[in-house]
Parts: sequence; C-alpha cells; structure tokens
Amino acid sequence: MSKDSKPSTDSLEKLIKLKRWEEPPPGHLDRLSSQIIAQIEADRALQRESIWTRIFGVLEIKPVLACAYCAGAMGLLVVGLGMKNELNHPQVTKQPKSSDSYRLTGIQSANDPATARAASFSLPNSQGLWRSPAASAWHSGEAGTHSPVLRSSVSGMPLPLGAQFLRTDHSSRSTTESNRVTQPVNFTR
Amino acid sequence: MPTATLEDQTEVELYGEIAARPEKELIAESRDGDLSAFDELVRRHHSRIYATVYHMTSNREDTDDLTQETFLKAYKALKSFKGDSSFYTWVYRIAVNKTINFLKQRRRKSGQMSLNEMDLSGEGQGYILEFISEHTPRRDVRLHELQAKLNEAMQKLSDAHRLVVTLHDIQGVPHDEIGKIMDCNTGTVRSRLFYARQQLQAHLSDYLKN
Repeated sequence: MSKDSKPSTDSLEKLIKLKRWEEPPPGHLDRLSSQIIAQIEADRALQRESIWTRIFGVLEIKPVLACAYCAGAMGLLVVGLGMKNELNHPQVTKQPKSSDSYRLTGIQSANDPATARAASFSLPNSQGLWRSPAASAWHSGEAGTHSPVLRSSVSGMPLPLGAQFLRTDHSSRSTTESNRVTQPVNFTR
Repeated sequence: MPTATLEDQTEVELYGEIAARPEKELIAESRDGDLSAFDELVRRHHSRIYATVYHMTSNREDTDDLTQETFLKAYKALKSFKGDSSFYTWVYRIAVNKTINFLKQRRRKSGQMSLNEMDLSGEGQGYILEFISEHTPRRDVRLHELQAKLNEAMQKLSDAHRLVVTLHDIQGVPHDEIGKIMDCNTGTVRSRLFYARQQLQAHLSDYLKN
C-alpha cells in the first residue's frame, strides 16, 4: 500500500464512521419495540379468533354449506345419542341374540345330552342379563339335573323350541311373564 | 490482537457488567410465549439492527418496517433457533436477508431517501467537528452536504458491498462474524471490503484529498 493511499484510507474510515451518529429521534426505538410486541399480541389474538371467524365468514357467504354442516352435526348428534343408549342398556340389543343362541344350543343338545348339559352351564345367569321368557324358563330348573331338551310324550322326539314354554313350570313367575310366554310367541325365525 | 466475538462484544457493550438475565434463558422463555422476555431481547438488539437496516436503505420509514418485520419473523421462527450461532447473529441474518430482498424490489428508486439528522450531542459532537476541521478541503462545508454525499456514495455500492462496509466500518463487526451473517468466508468479506472502500474513495475523492 502506498504512502498516499494510507492517509486516504484513514480519512475514508473516519468519514464512514460519521454515519455512526446518524440516529433516530430519542424514544423512537422504544416505540418501535413496543410496536413489535403489540404486533405479536395482535397476531396471537388473530390466531385465536381466526378459526371461528373463518368458519362463520364462510357460512355467511354460503348458506347451503351452513345447512349441510347443520345436518351433519345433527346426524352426528343422533348417532352419538343412539350409541350412548346402547352402551347404557346392552340387554336391549342382546335379547334376540341370546334367544337365538339358546335355540341353537337346544337343538344341538337334542342329539347329545352331554353337550346340552354343558350348554346349560354356559348360559347366562339369571341376575338380569337376559330377561327373555325363554331364559327365565330355562333357569327355573337346576343346571345339570334338568334336561334342556323337550321331547314329545307320545313319540319321544324332540319338540320344537316354542313347545317348551308350555311345559315349563310357571308357578314362580309373575302373571305378566306367564301371559307373555303362553301367547303364541315364536322365537324361531 | 485478540478479537472478541460479537456475542461477547454485545454482552459487554450493550448490557455492561450488570448483564441482566442470560440470553439463553430469555430465548427459552420467549419460546414458551413469554412476551416480556422477548421484549427484553428486542431491546437488547434493536438499535444495532435498526442502524444496519438504516445504513442499507437510507430511509427511516423502510427501516422501521424492516426492523419490525425482522423481529416478528424472529419471534415466529424462534422454535427453529437451535443455538448454533448467537441469537444476535441469527437475528442479524434475518434482518440482512429481509433488507436485501427489500432492496431488490426497490431497485432504481433512489429518490426516496429521508436521512436522519446526525446526533451532534454527546460523543458524536467532537468527532464530527474534528473531522470537518481537519480533513475536509472546504472548511465551510455544511454537515448536511457531507452526510448526503456520504450516503449517496454508499447507495452507489452494490448491496453486498454496502453491507460489508456497514457491518465492518460502521458497526464494528469482526470479519468472521460478517462471514457468518452473510454466509461466506472471511476472505470474501475482506475482498468485498477492499473493493467497496476503493469505490467509496473514488466517489468521495473531493472530501478525502488533503
């Protein structure tokens, strides 16, 4: 570097350093930082409100869409209530299935008394899970000593399922249940 | 000559010996949504960020907007800050990128400069008056004319060269930190600085001759 350029460089550096004293007015930076924080808070508030604001904004523009959303929401509500009822009262839906199961077991046991005995143990207890007349009649006897298979007194052949209710001892049951059982109720499908 | 890192420099220069809360703590709290912690971070760095952006744009309104946008972006991106560099360097990088993008858009619109008044009180007074009386060929040169000439010369530099001059000669940032901010090596920084000074000397020759 030449001797001439050195003082020129020094004076250039000093000249450039003049810009260090170009400063904003007093308090300007404080205001700026306050504005930054305020802007962040505003953005946060906007984010919190934006979901609902957007949804309602769209619904105001498109009423058909609003109706569709309402119908969907109502459908979900109905389904939810139905599921809730089902969970709270499981016997309502289990009843027909238990009857079917009972019927099948009875038919199978007609040819195999051992299976029938085992089936009688596998039946639900009488503490309220199944309240069908069939289940009540079945449990009126003692498991293991009471044959689940009903046979005709004439031919000795197994009787169809509906016939057993006519031969079950109904003395311990209420009048309402007796009436229900003696009606021509057919559990077979 | 031992070179202090930018982080040390800012810690000492800006907060003094009684540095309040550690920066990492403030960053962690800001990440958790504590705005008072982020406010403290802003107040620690906004003057330098503001000055850098201002020397790049030479426009106060643009500088306000860009500084604000820089810190807003920093707040939003705070979760992605891994601490590989200092927070100051990281924010600086955001500011520089924003400013350069802004300048690209504002290209060829040089008539919008609204320069700040020089602060002639305090420390600056003696320096400026000494400079004018000793080095200016026209002793009666007005301060505003000198300022305008200086800024005009700065604006004639390319963005990269102006940034190097701003960071090194005005802000006093070391070469290696400038390299981190501009994502280039120290050699590039030095060569850019050399070339920028040559250009400035040519533009300001009237004021630099003895």
